Amino acid sequence: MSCKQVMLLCLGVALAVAGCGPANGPTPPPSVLAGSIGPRPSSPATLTVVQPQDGAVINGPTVHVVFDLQNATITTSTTTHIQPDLGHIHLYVDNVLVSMNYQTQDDITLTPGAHTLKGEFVASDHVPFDPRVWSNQVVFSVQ
Amino acid sequence: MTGLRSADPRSIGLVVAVAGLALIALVEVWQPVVGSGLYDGVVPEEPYRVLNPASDQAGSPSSAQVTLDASSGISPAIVLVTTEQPPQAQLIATPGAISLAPGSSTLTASVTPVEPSSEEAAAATIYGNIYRYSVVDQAGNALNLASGARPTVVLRAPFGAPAVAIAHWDGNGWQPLPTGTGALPTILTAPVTALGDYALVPAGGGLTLPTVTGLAVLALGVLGVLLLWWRRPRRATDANTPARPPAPAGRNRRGQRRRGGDRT
Repeated sequence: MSCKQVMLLCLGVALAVAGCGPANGPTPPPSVLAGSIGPRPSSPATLTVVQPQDGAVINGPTVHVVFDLQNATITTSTTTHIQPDLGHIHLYVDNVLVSMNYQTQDDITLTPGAHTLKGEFVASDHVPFDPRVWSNQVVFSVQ
Repeated sequence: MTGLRSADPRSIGLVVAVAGLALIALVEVWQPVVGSGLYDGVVPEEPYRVLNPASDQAGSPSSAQVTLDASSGISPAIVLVTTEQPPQAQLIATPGAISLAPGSSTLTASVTPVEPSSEEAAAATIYGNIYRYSVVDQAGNALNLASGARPTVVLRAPFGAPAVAIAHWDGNGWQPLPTGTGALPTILTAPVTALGDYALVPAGGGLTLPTVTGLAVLALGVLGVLLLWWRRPRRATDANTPARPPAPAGRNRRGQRRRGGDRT
């Protein structure tokens, strides 16, 4: 291994270490950390599926999805330093997580038939709040 | 700089590597990475639960049942979901999908994993459980789908299953349905026109993925043998073929000069 390669390797390691560090400020207290190590904060957010409407019949395969998010803001940052009013939306179709959305609108492709759709507002570490912030669930058909 | 230039590059690399490791240790001491890693939103599939599990399989698949108000005369939306993650069986129906009998006040929809009948087991290779979908009114009378209704049956395929399709048991055999893929490759959906027993059977007329893979491997093997046979050195076995004269000294059989051939 040449000297340049060794130096590049070390630079890569250093950058990786920098990426592993906390993104924003000091380490959050254990009470708000992700996963099973502590309780989760609550959120004032409310989430509603605006489109498609419940019972709608849509000419597919593309379905335009619109959410209404109140009392919270969508952020693209991913961090363990979470705030109750910051996060993003997890989109569930047929009770399976489809995507993570950093906006309130999205286009998804679905097969013909009846489907369910709902969303969940989750914290910036991708973990749900407690209680979980679910939207209403809509049932609609794709032709 | 003169000293650095004259230093051994390996030594410089070693010093930088040690400095990097020291930096890692310093950062970890200064602001340790605590807690679990960031949840990336992808839920790992729990093992498929089978009704009669082998020693290496998970058992106790769940059922689902829901009772809904039907007093308006139109069946409400139905969402039946088993409790596995992801669910192994679902039924999704929009309002009006069920043909209600006069006087119906409630309906109860259910999905249950069932033992295959001897006919069902003999008719096709079944991957996963057979799920029985039914809807009854408050008196227990079976209800059928309304004319033109196309609710969706969603089934999860066991991990490692070949290409499969959702099939309906019509009393004589498994009838494969046009099957789409859901949010995950193992989540399969099909619009249906009847309730009853549904299961996953091999798709594509029995040409399962292992079969296709096996045929491809066999074809590649045959091709490889043919190539080896074609590229093998030909021997002068024909009596009419004159023997190849020996290569001149310092040259190989193709007449090229050998490396170091001039050295004697």
